[in-house]
Amino acid sequence: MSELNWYYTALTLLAVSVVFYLLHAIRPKTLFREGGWGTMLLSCLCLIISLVIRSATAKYFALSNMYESLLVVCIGMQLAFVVLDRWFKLRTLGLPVTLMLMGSLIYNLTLPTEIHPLQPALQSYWRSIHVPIILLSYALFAIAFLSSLVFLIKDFLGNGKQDQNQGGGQLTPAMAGAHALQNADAQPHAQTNALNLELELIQDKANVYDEITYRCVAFGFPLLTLGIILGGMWANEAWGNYWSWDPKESMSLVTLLGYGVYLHLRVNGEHSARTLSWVSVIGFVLMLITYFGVNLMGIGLHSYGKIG
Amino acid sequence: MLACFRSVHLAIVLISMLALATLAGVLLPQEGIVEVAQIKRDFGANYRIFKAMGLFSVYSSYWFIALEVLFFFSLLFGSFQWLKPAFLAATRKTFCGPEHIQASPHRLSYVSDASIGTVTAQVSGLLKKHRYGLHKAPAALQKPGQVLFYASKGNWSRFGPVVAHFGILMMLVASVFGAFLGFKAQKLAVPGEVFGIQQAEMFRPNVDESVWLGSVPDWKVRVNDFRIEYYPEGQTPDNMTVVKQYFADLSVLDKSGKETKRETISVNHPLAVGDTVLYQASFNPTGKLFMEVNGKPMKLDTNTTFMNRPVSLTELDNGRALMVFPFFVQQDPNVTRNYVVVFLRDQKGFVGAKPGQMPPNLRLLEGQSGTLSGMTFKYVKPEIATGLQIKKGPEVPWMYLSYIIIILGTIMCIFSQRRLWVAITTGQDGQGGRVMMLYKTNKARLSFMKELQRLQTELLSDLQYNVTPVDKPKPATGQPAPDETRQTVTV
Repeated sequence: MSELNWYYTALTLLAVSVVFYLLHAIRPKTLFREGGWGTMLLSCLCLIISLVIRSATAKYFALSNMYESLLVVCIGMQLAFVVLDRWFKLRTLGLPVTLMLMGSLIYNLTLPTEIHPLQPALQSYWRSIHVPIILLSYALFAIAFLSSLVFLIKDFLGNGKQDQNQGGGQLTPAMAGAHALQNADAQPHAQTNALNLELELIQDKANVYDEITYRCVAFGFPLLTLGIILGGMWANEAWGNYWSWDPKESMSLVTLLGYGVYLHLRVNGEHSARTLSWVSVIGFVLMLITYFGVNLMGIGLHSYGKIG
Repeated sequence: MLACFRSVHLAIVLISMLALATLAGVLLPQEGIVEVAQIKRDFGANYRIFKAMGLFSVYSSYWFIALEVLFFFSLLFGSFQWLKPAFLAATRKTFCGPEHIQASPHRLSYVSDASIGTVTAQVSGLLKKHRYGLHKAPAALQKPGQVLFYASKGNWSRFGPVVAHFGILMMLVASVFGAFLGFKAQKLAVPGEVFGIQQAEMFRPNVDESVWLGSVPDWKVRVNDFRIEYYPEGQTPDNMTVVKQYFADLSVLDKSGKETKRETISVNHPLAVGDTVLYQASFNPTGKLFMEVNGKPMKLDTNTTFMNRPVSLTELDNGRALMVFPFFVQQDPNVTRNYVVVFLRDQKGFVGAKPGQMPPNLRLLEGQSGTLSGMTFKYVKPEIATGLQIKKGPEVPWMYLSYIIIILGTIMCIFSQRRLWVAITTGQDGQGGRVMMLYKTNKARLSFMKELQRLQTELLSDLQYNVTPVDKPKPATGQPAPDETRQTVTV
């Protein structure tokens, strides 16, 4: 099978995953979630095979243009999500993630897919380290964004109403614990206790999405930092400059600072989950400008990533 | 004043302002990248206002540098402020009595028929299995029939923010260090040329020369050769000839002219001589062409123009003149390989020219030969100067060390510190043991609870504990968890 055939297979599997996650969002069932998860994993494997075939054809790690980089972002999102879903057993996040992936993979087909030989500046082992790390951070920020959106929608629809009344939209551990203990009183002989109830209570509420946003940003931030630093080291080796205030570099710094604000607000502890979710949304917009916006301009040292 | 710099609020404001300022530098045209005349045209009357505000040179404007300085001090004092709480949280061992644990909503409680000693051994064994570090309270702090201990893991993660901040500070200091001692230079040099660093065009210290503290190396560089390698034809989708790599063969000569080092550099593979590094940065055709005319080598110069195009016009021995139009990669549009177009002239004009027709000519790629009007020509190659970037960066090792520290710090920040305060007491009737645990984490709450859930399952299934009904919580809903540092015994 050719690289494109694997790509289309991945797309088809992803469409099945969308259906499963849609059913799961409407009527939660383990079967639906497991179906969505499994097809997502298979779709991810197909995309990896497609990338491997493309790399074998190009005779280098195929990560030198927009088509290939978006492919890696999608693979990163899928890998991150299958881990998250396995761990947190989420109800609502699967649908937006699969929809965003579908949109991205379909859009990717509109981009030029020709394989070009590498220009001198890109012939370095740094390319295989710096670029995937940055793209993986983008994948995590995309999931963080979707998680924030789910939180904000649930918050708006009143799913987290009880939480808002007593803590600005954030379920504090004390509240969850107290609530759990009251429930435990009602069922003194059940094989459960405060911990289980506290956990269930948090998982059912919008706050789990706030927690997931935080975990994605907490993992994405060091990756972006590492990616930017490795890029600086590469630039120093290629041109003798760590930093040139090139638009891509500057925008990635803006994105990093944006998520830095998110983490500091979080540490500060004075802000509600709603505020933090909005900051995460802003961070994602900055990331989009870095990733797509600067490439649309097609200027600067990163112009090989330009679209079209 | 210092308290102000220690504030997290100020840090957040400064980070936001730096982000906005950097964004302005991306969105607005910056001098040095866009031509001033173009900016003036685009902004018209507003140009002077924007210029006065430094918005066309954001990253070197005084207000941006002032922001960076403020950010530096915020980092410095903010990091010191976090150091003590981080150190205490990571190292201090506190113990909670059953009364205190009872008052917290974050507690687990179990009873067992086994003796207090057995229960203690079982619980501590389980926590050790989950990689918790255990610290038993001194005997003086424990009442009879009571065992207290403190269990924690991921303590080192508390230092993550401080380590990352320290790395950023070190990076900023290293860049200032590099500014005062380092320099950059650029040099276009043709094969055979020998030059010293100070002779390099655009030699400039990183700061104003009056305050520069660095020195210039006394060795020289000889360019032995420069060549461009192309991808074989057919390797590109549109069959264009594409440059694969640029190579410059360089020798380093000491003061006496003796060669001390020789290397071929290319893009991404520079030559390091101590803390000075030579990079293959660009190239530029000099306009000179190496050709063979009837087998005789000649070096031609583009010495005139024809219809606004530079051309080489050379008198030959046979009374004819050789007219050569050179075309260069990356200089002329749509040219993917260097070539020349050769014409022959005599006193009547172009040799063999017919009215209304293009005069006879010869198009030769680099290395190609051909015949024109009974003469053979070979285009050997154009003379191309290699564009070298030369940089002295004594800060590089420190910079790289700061990078490692930043990465280490940010990775440490991912992990969380998980703490448990355990109190094991004998049952009310003096039989069996009662286990009470208070749990707390600084982040990743869900993951921690899932771990506690697994821990609890193991306790209940493996150790055959009975689950106790939990008492009604004392604190009102929404009340924060008690601060164990105030109400507990600290060692």
